[in-house]
Amino acid sequence: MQDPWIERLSEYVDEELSRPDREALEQHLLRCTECSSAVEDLMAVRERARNLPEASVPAELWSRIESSIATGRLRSVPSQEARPERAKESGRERTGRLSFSLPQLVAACLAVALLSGAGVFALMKLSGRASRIGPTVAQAPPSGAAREGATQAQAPSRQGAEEPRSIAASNATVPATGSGAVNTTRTEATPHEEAIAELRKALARERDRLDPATVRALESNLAIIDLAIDQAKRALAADPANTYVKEHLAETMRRKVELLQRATLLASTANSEGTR
Amino acid sequence: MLAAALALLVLLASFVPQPWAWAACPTPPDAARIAGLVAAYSDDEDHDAEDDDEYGNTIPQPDTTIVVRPGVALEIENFGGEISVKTWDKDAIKIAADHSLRDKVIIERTGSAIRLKVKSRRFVPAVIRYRITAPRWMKLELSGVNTDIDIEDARGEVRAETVQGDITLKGGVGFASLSSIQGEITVTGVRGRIEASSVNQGVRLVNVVGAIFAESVNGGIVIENAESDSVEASTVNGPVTFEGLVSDTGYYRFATHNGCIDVAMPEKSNATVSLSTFSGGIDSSFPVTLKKIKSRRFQTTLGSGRAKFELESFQGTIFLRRPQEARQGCDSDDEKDKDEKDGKTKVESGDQDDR
Repeated sequence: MQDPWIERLSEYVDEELSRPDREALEQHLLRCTECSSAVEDLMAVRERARNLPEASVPAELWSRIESSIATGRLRSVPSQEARPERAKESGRERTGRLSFSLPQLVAACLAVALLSGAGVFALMKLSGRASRIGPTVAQAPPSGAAREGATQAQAPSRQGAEEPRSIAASNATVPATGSGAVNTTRTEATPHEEAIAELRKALARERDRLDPATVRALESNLAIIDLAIDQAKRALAADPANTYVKEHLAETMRRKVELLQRATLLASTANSEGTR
Repeated sequence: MLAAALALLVLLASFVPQPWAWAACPTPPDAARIAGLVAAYSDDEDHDAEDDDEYGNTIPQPDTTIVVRPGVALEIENFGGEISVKTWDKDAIKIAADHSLRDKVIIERTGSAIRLKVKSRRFVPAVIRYRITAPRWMKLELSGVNTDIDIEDARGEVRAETVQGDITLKGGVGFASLSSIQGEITVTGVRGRIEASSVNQGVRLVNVVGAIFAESVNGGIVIENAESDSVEASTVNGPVTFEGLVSDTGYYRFATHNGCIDVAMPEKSNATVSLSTFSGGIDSSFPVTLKKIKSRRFQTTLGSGRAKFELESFQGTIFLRRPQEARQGCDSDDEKDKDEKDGKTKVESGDQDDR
């Protein structure tokens, strides 16, 4: 049976519930682990979205785009998007190219942000669900824990019904064993690893522009992160259902990407006045 | 005679300000004039001879004061040395810089900013000690390589970035983004959103009112006497310590891989505290009821549970304590081996699945 409160958790998180409803739901949350966990996840997503840093454009981006245009590799990229100054000069009417007003751009940005957030949220829910399904089905406790096991065993089907259809449908594709969680983690980690490989290459090209002491510090900190990643991976292999370790691994890899990005940017902005 | 005239011509030409020195400036003559006031450009041969040291000795230079209109930002790019910014109530900026005579400080004025740059005559990285007094409202964008940055009582937005150097922000109001690779970040008595990041050193925030985002890789994070409803602090190798007021609507997240988490919070807080660890432990100096949520994830609710705490340490101990109690020895790797003390809730993780 579907939990009647599950539909209203978003309203609760957004503080849109009336006071009696909110109090009733808070009482319910004290008893319902699944709902309290979902609320926790929703709040985490909201907070992370709220605290997203402003994305900075790499200083060398335009020079790369410019050289790509010069070599004819980016002919299809509208110059208006690539170079706002030119867009101002040429104007919308003259070029006849696709352009947007500020409100339209803001709306588009919001839509992209919402879609991205929803995607991340769905992925997080999916991976969490996979990890919960795995051990529950695999364990089937036989003894004194049977009652608890039975309760847990009901959880996946109930969750499946509670979740939006798209997520419930996705759950059906997740293998009902612990390996499902590992696979999910691997899928999440791949983009990070690709980014890390690319950034490593870029940094290797530019590292001579950095001060040796800075390079040593960066390498030492990358080694610290690598060790943490290795430990988290081994922990995850030992306990594939552990959502905390999965999230921790993802966060540590994200941190490595950020450090490499920072190091690469640092190297690329080092100028003739001295190395950094 | 002709040779002597040519030599004289070449010598004179070498003292003319280089075009590239103010090429980026929309008003080059003005910039060049102001630069002349501040810069220690070699004005005569004697200077060049007697102060052209190869050891980077710095020499105080005359102060320059420029009137600025509200909204103008100050941008400084430095290589080595120091940037020290204090503030006053005047709509003027006083610039002083100590540096070698072979270096030149260029002041560029654009519509929205005053920009200080350095040019070294011999293309050797310059070491400049800036002593700036700026209007309180002025937005500051300061960057350096081997540069320490100190800012006091700024009321405008502050962005400071160094590679090897400490950043200190004392007093003031408003958003501050502080970042260093190898330096320590210290913030004291600031009201506003703080984003502080160091790679190889720690971050210390004391008496901060406002949202906090702090991170490090190989350093600890200490937050003391904070008053904030949004705090996120994380590191990979180091402890995270938090002590401050807990807002009922607040969100607090502290995470580390290798280190402990030490959180001081009133026993009567209204907070839901989620604690996660893989091989660390949980230790509370006041009684709490830990509910196992998932594998190695626990939760305890204090009061109404409105505020949210997420405490995560992969292999360190998570300490909960009352504000007046002494801070835990977070640098010990063996807290989990200590004997369980009376009246404390202590959980060893690692085999929680069996409990």
